Amino acid sequence: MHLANSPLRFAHLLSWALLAACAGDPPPPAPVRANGALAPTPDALLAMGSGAATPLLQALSRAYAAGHPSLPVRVEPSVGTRGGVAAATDGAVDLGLVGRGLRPALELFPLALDAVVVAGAPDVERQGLTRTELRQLYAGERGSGLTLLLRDTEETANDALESAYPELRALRESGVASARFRVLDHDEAMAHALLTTPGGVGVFSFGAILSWRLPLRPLALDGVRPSVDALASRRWPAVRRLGMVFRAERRARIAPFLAFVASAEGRSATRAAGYLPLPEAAQ
Amino acid sequence: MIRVDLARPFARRLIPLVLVSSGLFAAAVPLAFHLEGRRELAGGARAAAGQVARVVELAMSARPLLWRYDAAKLAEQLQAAGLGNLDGLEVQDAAGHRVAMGSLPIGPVVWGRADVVLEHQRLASVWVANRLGPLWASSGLVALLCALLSLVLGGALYLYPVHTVMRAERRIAALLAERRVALQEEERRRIARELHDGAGQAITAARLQLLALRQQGLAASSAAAVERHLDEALEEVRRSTSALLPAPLAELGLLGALERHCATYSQATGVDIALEAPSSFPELPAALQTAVYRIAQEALHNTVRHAAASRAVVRLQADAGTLALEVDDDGRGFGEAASCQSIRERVAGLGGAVTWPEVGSARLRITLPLAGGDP
Repeated sequence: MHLANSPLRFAHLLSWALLAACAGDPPPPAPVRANGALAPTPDALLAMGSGAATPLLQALSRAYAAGHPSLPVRVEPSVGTRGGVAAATDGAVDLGLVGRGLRPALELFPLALDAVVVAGAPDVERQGLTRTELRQLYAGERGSGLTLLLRDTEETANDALESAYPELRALRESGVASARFRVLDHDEAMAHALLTTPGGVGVFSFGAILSWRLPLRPLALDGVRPSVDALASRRWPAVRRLGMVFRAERRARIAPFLAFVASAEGRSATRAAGYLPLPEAAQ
Repeated sequence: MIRVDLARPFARRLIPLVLVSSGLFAAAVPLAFHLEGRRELAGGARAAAGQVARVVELAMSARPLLWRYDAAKLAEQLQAAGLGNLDGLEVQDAAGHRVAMGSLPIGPVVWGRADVVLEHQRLASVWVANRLGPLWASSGLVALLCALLSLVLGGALYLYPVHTVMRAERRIAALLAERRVALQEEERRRIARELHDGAGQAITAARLQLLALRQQGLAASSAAAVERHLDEALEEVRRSTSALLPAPLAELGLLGALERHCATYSQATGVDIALEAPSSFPELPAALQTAVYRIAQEALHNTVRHAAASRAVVRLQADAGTLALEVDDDGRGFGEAASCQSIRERVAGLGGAVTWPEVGSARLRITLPLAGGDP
């Protein structure tokens, strides 16, 4: 049909052309579901996940590499527990590092206990904090000369500290909501902020301080100084369990590394890194 | 009253035009506003998608496989780039697998897309959504305002021309009526003149001839009979010409004729009738003079017949555009019902107005437009 003989059809086409010109791009198509796991990296075991476990895995991988040069462990920068689990589920990495009790459809290897500490910047002279001082710090009360730095809500260190001091949770949440405190999204970002903020204090991993040899001061809490021994004696109040998750079909591939972690050498390396090896890991 | 039917057909033809033009305005402006808004939103979405694609590109360059699991770091980078509050974000790799970086939007949106390209190879695509809700709300507001404005414009487009045509219609009707009365009066004058100058003169001459013949010895009885017949015919012609054109008007003018009529009618009826008029009075058209004279005659007749008055006054005034005639008496009034149809027709024909005396009041007021005035 000729357009000139059909004004309605012409108007119809014109309307569609106008709308199409202003409608933007087509919407995204429905995503494709992953069909099976990715193939493992042939030349290395990949580990990635929780920032608290990353320094420990780096220490263990160094110790492991000395005796197992054929298939070393390569530790990627931290992506958080959730990212580690997702990567392990997809098969993008062999080991997902977790800092909390997620229950994915993966196998879990208990790794170590990490002491969650309140770390001070190099210029902080204070040796420790009492529970009251900690509460005042979270409440934003001035006078201590300290500047509190917080981690994001996904961070497992928050859970560990607040399970020991439950009153801190509401204070932290209101502080974040009112933008009273600076919030960091990564262990690396927190370490950098603590190193560059005069009087800065914030939750951090005791093992990471030791492993990375950071010039930060882990503060005592209620008179208890953080250490692996304090973890072992259960005197240190804020603790988180670290572990590794992996797909079942990768067990054979990673078995030598798991055996190393559970061995006396691995446990020694874990202790040396500032973490307390879990008794289950030895089994 | 002459009817000139211009406004109604004009209004009938104007209505569709006004409806179409108002409707077009009410629809086109909000539509254009909405389309332009969508175009801007789509452009903004494409620009944002391009920025996200650059962030992803950097992450992919550093960690080609594992970048997708570091959502927190990517979110932080998007935040730093001012893209922390996108209405919707979807990232898919080249195989179509979703990368959990943002959330899908809720409700109607417009999408913008950008590809992540490294070394001439598309590795991922980014879609950013902008919500249409606020645009729909503002478009609705614009549509409402335009609808109200189109009502006002449509009303103005309709009422102003129709009102103008109605005024012209009234003016044309008044001019036609005036012209009709003038033509009638002119025709009466012509007939009266013909009768007076033709038949009247001939009869008068015949009568004088007969008188001379009688004086010369014609049988007096025969001449007297012929003379009587001629007198009757002459009287008949006078009555006819007087009916066509008031003789006093022709002889005395409007004020003189009215003065004489008031005097003779007062004498005949016993009602004391006075005329009040300015000493200098403008020259009026013949049709208007005749109409005023006849109306005054009829009004005085009604006063004597219905109002039981003992005194009456006829007032005549004229200004630049209007002639006013008032007939006032001390009687009980007579109202419109008792008035003469001829007064109404004469006044209407000249485009004037009548204020009829109420019962209990005795003032009849008539206003007539002078020639050239707007009724």
